[in-house]
Amino acid sequence: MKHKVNMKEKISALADGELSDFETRRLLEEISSDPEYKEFWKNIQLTKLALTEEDLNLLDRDLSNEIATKLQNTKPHYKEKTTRPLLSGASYIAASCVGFFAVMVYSLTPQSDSTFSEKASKIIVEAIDSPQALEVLNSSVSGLNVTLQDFQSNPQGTMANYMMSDSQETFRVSLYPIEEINKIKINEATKISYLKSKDGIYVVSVSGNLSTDKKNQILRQANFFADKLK
Amino acid sequence: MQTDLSEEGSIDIESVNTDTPDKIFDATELQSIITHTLNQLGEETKTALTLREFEGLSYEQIAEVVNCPVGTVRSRIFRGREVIDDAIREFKLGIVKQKLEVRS
Repeated sequence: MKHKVNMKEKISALADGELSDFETRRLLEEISSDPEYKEFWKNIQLTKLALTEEDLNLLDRDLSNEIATKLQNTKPHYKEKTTRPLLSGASYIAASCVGFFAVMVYSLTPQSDSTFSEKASKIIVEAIDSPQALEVLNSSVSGLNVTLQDFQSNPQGTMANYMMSDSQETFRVSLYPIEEINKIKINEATKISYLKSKDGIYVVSVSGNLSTDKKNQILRQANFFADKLK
Repeated sequence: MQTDLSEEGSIDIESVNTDTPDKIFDATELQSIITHTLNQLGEETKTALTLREFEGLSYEQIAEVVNCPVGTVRSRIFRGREVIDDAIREFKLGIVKQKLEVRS
């Protein structure tokens, strides 16, 4: 049982190009002889596709052939600073057709494709520093009987402080471009979620004196209104 | 459609036009399940997996961002993928059951 868990953890690392050549060779032998490992590998690739492609036609694609080909022909990107998953070819090509992928390209290779990536980055900055960003935050707290205390908005993020009308409890809802995630101070009381709009990936966070259920409700509602950021 | 990938050989991508509506529905539903499951993960796991999948950061870079050892990043990403793997398997099982019910 423990061996299986260890093996799967290695498969996960392999999918991210984080194994050495030696480890990869040993792992491939075991993957090819175990249907459970193959399934796990396939589901990792499905997840990668699901999170990077806007329109997905996953079930119509036989990934097994792609996996076999890539495992045979591709060296792992061991210890590279800007690693890309082994099987990322299809997803990267497809994702490059949609706007949000430009953000990732921008963060990985800021020196190349400058015109395209600069445009994408500009779109994100404009979206985050716009009345629509506050509208998303206000929509996320709809139905909670709260009043807006104050808000700040700049290209790095939009933050709004609210007060519950009945209990006078205060809390903050924030919206950031995903590149700013390292600036969010996450503690046990902070709940975060990720919004995917046509033009980018955003992080929304809720912190303060609210129950976990209410925080989750706010995050769900923010997700529902993410399209306003387009 | 054949797309040439200069770095990584070539990969066949199926034409979107051949998809039937039910397949597109399945794919959209699966995408939604994966995204939903990701958002249900614990904060540390979710952050590690998101930085990997959306930002393409290496384990070492993620370790620097979240200030923890590389091994911890690796296990967090794995744990997140295990949960998503369970959700995908459940989804696939549901589709198989539906098809069996339709046939019977």
